[in-house]
Amino acid sequence: MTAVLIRVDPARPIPLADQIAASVRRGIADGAVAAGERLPPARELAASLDVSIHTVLAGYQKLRDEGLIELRRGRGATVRATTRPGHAAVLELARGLVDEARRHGLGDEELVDLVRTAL
Amino acid sequence: MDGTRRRALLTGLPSVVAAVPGIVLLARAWDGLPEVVATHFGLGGAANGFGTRATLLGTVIVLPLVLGGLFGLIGAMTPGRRGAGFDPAKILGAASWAGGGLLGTIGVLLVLANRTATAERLPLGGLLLGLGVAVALGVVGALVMPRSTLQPGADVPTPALELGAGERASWSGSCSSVFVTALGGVLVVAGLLLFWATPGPAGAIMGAAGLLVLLFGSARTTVDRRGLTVGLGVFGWPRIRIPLEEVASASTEDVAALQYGGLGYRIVPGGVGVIVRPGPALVVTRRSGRRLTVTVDHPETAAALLNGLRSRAG
Repeated sequence: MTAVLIRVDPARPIPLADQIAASVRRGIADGAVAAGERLPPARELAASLDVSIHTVLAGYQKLRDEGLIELRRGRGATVRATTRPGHAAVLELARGLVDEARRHGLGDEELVDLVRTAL
Repeated sequence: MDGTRRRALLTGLPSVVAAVPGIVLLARAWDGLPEVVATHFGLGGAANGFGTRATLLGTVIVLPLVLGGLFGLIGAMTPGRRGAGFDPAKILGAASWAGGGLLGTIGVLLVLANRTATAERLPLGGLLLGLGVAVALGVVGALVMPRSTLQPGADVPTPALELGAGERASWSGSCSSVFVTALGGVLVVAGLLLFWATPGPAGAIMGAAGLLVLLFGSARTTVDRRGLTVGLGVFGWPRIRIPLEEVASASTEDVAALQYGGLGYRIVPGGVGVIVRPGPALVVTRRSGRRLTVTVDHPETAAALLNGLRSRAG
């Protein structure tokens, strides 16, 4: 069953939607949210966090674009059956890497090259 | 002998042992018994129900064995720890001994009443005798049944989650029971069918009971700036809320089967339990000292967050 902790801090320089997505990613990575399970309905999560519903939906859409969850009208957001914890963990690391690189002024091309050489 | 087996024997054996006198008596009187025997008696002691000799076997032998088996099973499942302030083991001990004693006495009286074919009456005060035996054995049962070992929940508040001054956090979790949901569904359907066949209160009551059971087939728990919210059933409604201001502390507990006396909305001394299934649960202590226990998967994070929100609010 789902058990997910979502943390957002407006004081951090990261958009709230990204913070929501990161929380879910971590939940999937550490096994608290398993494949096939439902995430909290956007409306309820928005009220709970005191943020706009659009912010929550933007976060969920990010996760859908990454292939971690499915969004269906009427059924809400569910973790895709094929999603593996390790996948979410790697995605979360990749996010962290991109954030860190940008913070240090590394260009996107440079970062891609860096990753390629690390392979 | 381990605790489980000991509790199973202590609760299961009384019914079986208490049935022995009736069985011996029945065996010795068998050939002299009439083909048709009295099986049911009015309050005055006069027989008002009759059956074949074989029905005596049911009352004197089969019923006590089934009762003993059931009590033994419940005894084995009753945990070696106790919920808030009352000890289910002691109550079960009393119930199993009293039930076994009552049934055993009835068995003896039944055979005695039928042995003398002329007087198909339950000996005077038979019911009182049975009740007397039940009460006496019930007291013995409560005394011999070992007290549950652990005191109510360790109740150590879960370490608080560190929260930034402006940080917002929301935890939501749920748990469900396929068994309870299926039971509720079956009751609702059966109630509808019954109502359709014979419109009347019976079908309506059964359907309503089914809906009530369905409510406790699953629960969704949310912890956030507002406090604790528990939504019952598939639709998460009705809801139980504890505002953050009313929360004193939160901890976790591993709820054993029957620790709260069963599933559903359980009122126990010192608090209330929303028990969907045995297993991990979140325990919230209110400022008044009363506790709410909600079964939910991964409750540690929920308790940590609630304590974090509580300590930040000051």
